[in-house]
Formats: sequence, structure tokens, C-alpha cells
Amino acid sequence: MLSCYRLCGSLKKGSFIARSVRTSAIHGQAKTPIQEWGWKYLVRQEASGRPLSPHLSIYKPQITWFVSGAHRITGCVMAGVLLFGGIGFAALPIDFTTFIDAIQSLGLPRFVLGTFKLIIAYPIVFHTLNGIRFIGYDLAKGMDLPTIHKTGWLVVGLSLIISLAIVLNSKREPVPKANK
Amino acid sequence: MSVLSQVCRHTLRSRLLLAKTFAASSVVPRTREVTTTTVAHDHASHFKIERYWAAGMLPIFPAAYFIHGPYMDAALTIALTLHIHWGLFAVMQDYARPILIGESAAKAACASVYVISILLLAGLLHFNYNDVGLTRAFELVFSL
Repeated sequence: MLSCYRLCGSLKKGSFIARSVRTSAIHGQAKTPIQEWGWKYLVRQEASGRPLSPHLSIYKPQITWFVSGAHRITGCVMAGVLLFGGIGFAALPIDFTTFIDAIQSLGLPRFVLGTFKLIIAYPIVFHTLNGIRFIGYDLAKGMDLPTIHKTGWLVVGLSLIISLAIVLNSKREPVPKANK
Repeated sequence: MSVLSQVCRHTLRSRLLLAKTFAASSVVPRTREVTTTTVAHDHASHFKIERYWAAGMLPIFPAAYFIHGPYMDAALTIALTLHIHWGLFAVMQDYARPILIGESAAKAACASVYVISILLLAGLLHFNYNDVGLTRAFELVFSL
């Protein structure tokens, strides 16, 4: 009971835990001076009626932002799969085993199934390996441009190798005889 | 004479610099007291926790390839849900901006990330308890 009170106390608004776990400031609350200046700048620019400068349409494809974009996209897509998979199998009457049996009964060729397994494995491995690379950046390691390019290609290639290894290593279980 | 005056000026300047740095260090408080209502200036500790969590998650994934079972499912669920929550919050902050969609829509978008995370946690927990569980699910998919 006492420990419960202590825990509640530590979760008070101004406590270290609350401040660390709570994500950033809610929009529209008490802007700092520089944030206020920045907001006024944006409003002024919008009011000028000038068009937005082209960005994605003109930027040369580079390993830097491709990998960064891929990191975010794989993260969001995987999160989406987990979200819709989790809620889907909870809400729908079908369960995962039935789902797998249904796919197995389709009798898809090994190449197709292997491709799907690669599509599943690659984002996981890529996001994990690039995560290491990005945490290196947060520690200010490997921030010079040649290293950025090298490690970028290394992550892309190594992820492919590891995912291929995972897919090739996956044993294919024989189709169960229908005895229902 | 000029050399002497230069030396005097140099020592004066260095003394001023010294005084400035001492003054600056005494002005910066070393307390953790929060005086404003925002948590913008606590972003540093939040950032650190996010990265430590992500770094701590790293060994779970190669381990999950070899070790399966309900405990691994639970570890994955906890690690993933929190990581995804923080990640989605960053994405939402980056793209659902007030200048683009208005203050209230931006606030709603950031609040919706909490809803998504709770749904994700609920879905994963249900999957782990009432269905095959994450590691078994991967086993099944990769044995197709």
C-alpha cells in the first residue's frame, strides 16, 4: 500500500518519471519565444501567397535520405501490420491457425511463398540494422559523409543477406493430410 | 611600453573571459525543478530514454529468432508497443503540423497516437493469450 502511494507520488506531473515518459509539449500550449517567432514566420510566409518550393520531386535520389525514408516507412508499415493483425485477429471470428491453413491450401509455389517471406523478413532486419546506424548518429559516431554512404549501403546489403538466410533456412512443413 | 600594454590587455581579457565562464556556470541551475508548464525543455531526457529503449531492444530480435515461447512474446510486446508509440508520435509531430492542418487537428492527431498504441497493446496481448502468440505466428508463416 505504501509502495503504491510512493509510485503514485513519483508519477506526479512535475516528477522526473512523468517528465521523461510524457512525450513532447502539446501543440498550442505556451510557446517559447523562438517557437512563437517560428510560428509567426510560417504564418507570414503562407500569407505571402508564394508557392511551396519543390522538394521530393527535385531531390537527387541518394542513399542518405532513401535509407532514412525507408527506416521510417518500414517502421510505420510494420507497426500497421502488428496493429491491424492484432486487432483483426481479436475482432474477427477467424484465428491465426485457420488463416495459415487457408494460405497453405492455396498451394502457392515455393517461389511466391519465398518472396512473401522475404518481404516480411527484410523490413524487420533492415529497420533493426539501420537502427544501430542511427543510434550511432545520436552518439555522433560515423557522421562524416563517406562513412554515411558506406554504412548506408552496408545496412541495405547486410539486411538482404540476413533476410535471404532467414528465408532459405525456413523449413517448409509438409501440407497436412485432410482428415476432417 | 606597447608590449607591456598588450600583455596587460591580454591578461585583462583572459580575466574577463574567466569571469564570464564562472558567472555562466553559476547561473545555470543544476536542479531538476520544472518551472514552466511545458515539457519542451525535458525533451533531452525523453530523447535519451527513447534511444536507450531502442538500444536495449536490439538483442531481443536475434534472440527471438532462436528462442520462442510466451515469455519472448511478452518481451516483444512490451518492447515493440513502447517503441512504436514513441515512433508514431514523432511521425505524427512531423507530418500533422498545425500550420498544415490547424491547431485542433494537430492536437487530435497527437492524441490519436495514444489511442493507436493502446489498441496495438490490446491487440498484441489478445494475440499472445488467446491466439498462437507472436513467435509461434512467425514460426507458422515461415514454415509455409
